[in-house]
Amino acid sequence: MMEKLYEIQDIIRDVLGDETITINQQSTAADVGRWDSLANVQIILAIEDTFGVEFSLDEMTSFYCIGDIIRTIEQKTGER
Amino acid sequence: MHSMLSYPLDAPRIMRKRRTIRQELLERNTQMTDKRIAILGGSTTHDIREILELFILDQNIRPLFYESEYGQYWQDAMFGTDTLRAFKPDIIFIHTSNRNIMGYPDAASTAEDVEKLLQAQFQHFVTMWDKLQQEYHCPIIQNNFEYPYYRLRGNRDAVDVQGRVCFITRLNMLFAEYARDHENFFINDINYQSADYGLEKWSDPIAWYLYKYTLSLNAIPTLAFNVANIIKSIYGKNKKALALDLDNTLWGGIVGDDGVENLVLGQETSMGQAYTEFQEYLKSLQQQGVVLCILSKNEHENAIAGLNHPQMVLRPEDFVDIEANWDSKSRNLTRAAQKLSLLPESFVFVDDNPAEQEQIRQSLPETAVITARKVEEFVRHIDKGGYFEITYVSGDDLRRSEMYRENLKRVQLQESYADYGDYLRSLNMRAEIRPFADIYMARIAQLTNKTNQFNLTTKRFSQEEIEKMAGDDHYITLYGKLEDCFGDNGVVSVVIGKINGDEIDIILWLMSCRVLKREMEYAMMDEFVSRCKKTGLKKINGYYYPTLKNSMVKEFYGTIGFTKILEDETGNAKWFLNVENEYDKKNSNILVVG
Repeated sequence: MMEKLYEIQDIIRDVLGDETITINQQSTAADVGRWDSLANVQIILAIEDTFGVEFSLDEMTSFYCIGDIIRTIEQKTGER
Repeated sequence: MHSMLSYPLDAPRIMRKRRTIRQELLERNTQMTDKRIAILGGSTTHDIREILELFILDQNIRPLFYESEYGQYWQDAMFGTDTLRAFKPDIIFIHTSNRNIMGYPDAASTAEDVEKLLQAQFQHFVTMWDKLQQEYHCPIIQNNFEYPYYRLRGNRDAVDVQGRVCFITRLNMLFAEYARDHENFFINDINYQSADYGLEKWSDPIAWYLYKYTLSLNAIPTLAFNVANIIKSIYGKNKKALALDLDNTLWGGIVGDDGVENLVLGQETSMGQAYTEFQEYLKSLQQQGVVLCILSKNEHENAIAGLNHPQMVLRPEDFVDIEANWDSKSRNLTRAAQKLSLLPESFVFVDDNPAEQEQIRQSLPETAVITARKVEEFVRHIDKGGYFEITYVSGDDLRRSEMYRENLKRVQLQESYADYGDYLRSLNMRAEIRPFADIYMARIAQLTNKTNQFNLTTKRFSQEEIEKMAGDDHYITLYGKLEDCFGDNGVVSVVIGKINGDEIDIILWLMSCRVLKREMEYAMMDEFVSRCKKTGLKKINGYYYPTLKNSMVKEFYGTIGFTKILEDETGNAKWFLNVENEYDKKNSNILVVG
C-alpha cells in the first residue's frame, strides 16, 4: 500500500514538476496545487503505465481520493 | 538530437517526463529560431501542444503557440479572433479527426446523395483553408482522416459508396488533390499514422469520453513527431546525406576476411534478400535527392571490390564519397562532410556495430544515428525517423547527388592547377543574376531557411514573405544561378536590400557553400552595386550578426570594400559602402548574363 502511495507521489511530482509535493491516502486533486483536469490526464495515464493496469470509464469517473486509485489497482492486480 | 525524441519512441516516458525533457532541451547551448504556431483544434489539443513543443525544440526551433478554444478550429479560421490576428502565425496546424466529419452516408443514400455529401464536406474544409491562406499567408498543416472504428458493412464498407471506409477514403483523396495543387499546404497523414500505430490502439474511447481526445494519449508522441517532421522540413532542416557502413550493413560478411565471392547478397538466400532490399530502399532515397556516402573500416581496394560485386544494387558511382580506411568513423564523417560542404548535422549514420554508433554519438552529437543493428531493421528505422520528409520538391533536390559529384570533379581539377585564377578561368563559369523570379521562389525560400555558414544575417523567410518583397519597390532582390563546365549548380546565392531613403540596408546575403571561393559573391556584389546606382542610392549598409555557424563571413564586408562603423560586444557589426564613389568591379572570372 505504502509503496504504491510513494510511486504515485513520484508520478505526481514528475507531472507537476514539483519535488516537494507529498500525498496520503485521503489526498484529492483539490489538495494538490496545479492538479487540474489537464494534469489529471497525464497523472492517470502514467499511473496506468506504471502499474500495468487499465481503468474503465466507470472507475475513472468515480475516483475521489488517492486511496480509491490504490484500491482499484490492487483489485485489478489481485492483491486484495 | 535528444535521445528520447527519435525513433523508436517510448511514448509513456515522453508523456510522463515531458517537463524534464523540455528543461533539458532549453538548457542545450544551441541557437534557436522562434516560430509562431497556431493550433486550430477540432478536439482537445492541450497534450498535443505540449508534446509537439518538445519535438520542435529538438529541431532548434522555439515554438510560440496559439491554441484555439476546445473544438473551435472552424470558427477561429473563418471569423478569426483578435488574439489570433495579433499572433500572426508562421504556421497553422489544424488538428481534426473523423469525429469532425459532420455527415456520413446512410443505408438509403444514393450514389448521387453520397457525392453531394462528399463535396459538401470537402468544401467545408476548402472554404476554411482558402480563408486562412488569404488572411495569414502562411503554411497550413491539415490532417487527413483515420478510418472509422467500426464497419457497419464489414469488408464491404470499403467497397460500397454508402460505407464509411469508402467515404473517408474518397475524402482523403480530395484532400490530397488539394495539397498537390497548393504549394503552402501540407497533409499530416494520420490515415497512415493510425494504420501504422494500429487503429484499435489509436482509437481509445475512454480518451474521447473523458477528455475529448480523438486518439489515445500514448499515440500523441507519434502524431507530434510527424507534425514536427513536416515543420522541420518546411524550414529546410531535413537531413541531406546517409553515411553507410559496408560489412554487415550493405552486405553480409566481411569483405576483407571472407572475400568478395562470399559476400551475402542477392535473391538466393533470405539474408541476401534482406541486404538487397535494403540497397533498393537506399537507391530510391538517392533518386529522391538523398546523398549516399560510404564510411568503412576496410582497405580501399577491398571496399571497391565489394561495391563491384555483381549482385550489388548500388554501384560505386552511386556514392558521392567513399571513405574506406582505418580512421575513426567520426573522422571519416567529418572528412566526407568537408568534401561535400555539408555539416555533420546533415548526416544520418548507419552502421550495424553499436560501438561505432556510440563513437559517432559522442564525437558528433548533431549527427543522427540509426540505433538498429540488423539489416532487416534498417529500413524501418531510417524511414520512421522522418529524416528526409519532403515538403517542397525543387529540381535541385532531385539533382543533388549529381551536383555533389560535379563538385568533387571541380576539386580534382583545382588540384591540377597551380594558379587558382587559372583554375577559375578553366571552369568557364556563367552566372544569371536577376531580381527574384516566380520559378525560383520555392528554392529561394528554401535557401533562406537552410543556409547557415555563408549567411550574414541568418534571417529566415517564408515563401510568402519572399514573394511580397519581390513585388515591392522598396526592396532590391537578387538571385544568382551559377553554371560551369561540369554542370548547373542551380540558384546558389540570394541578396535582399531594403531601401531606406537614399540608403539601402542589406537584410539578407547568403550563398550556398557548394560554390565557395568561386568569386560568385563578387559577381553578386557587382550586380547589386550597379542596381543601387541605377536606383540613385548613395550608400549601402551591410550587417553581420554572429551565430554559431557563420563565422566564415565575419569579415566578408571588409573583403569587398566596406568600412566597419559599429561593432557591439557580442560581435554584431554594421558596415557601409559609399556608392557615389567610383566602384571597381570585383568579379573577373564569371560571365554574368543579366
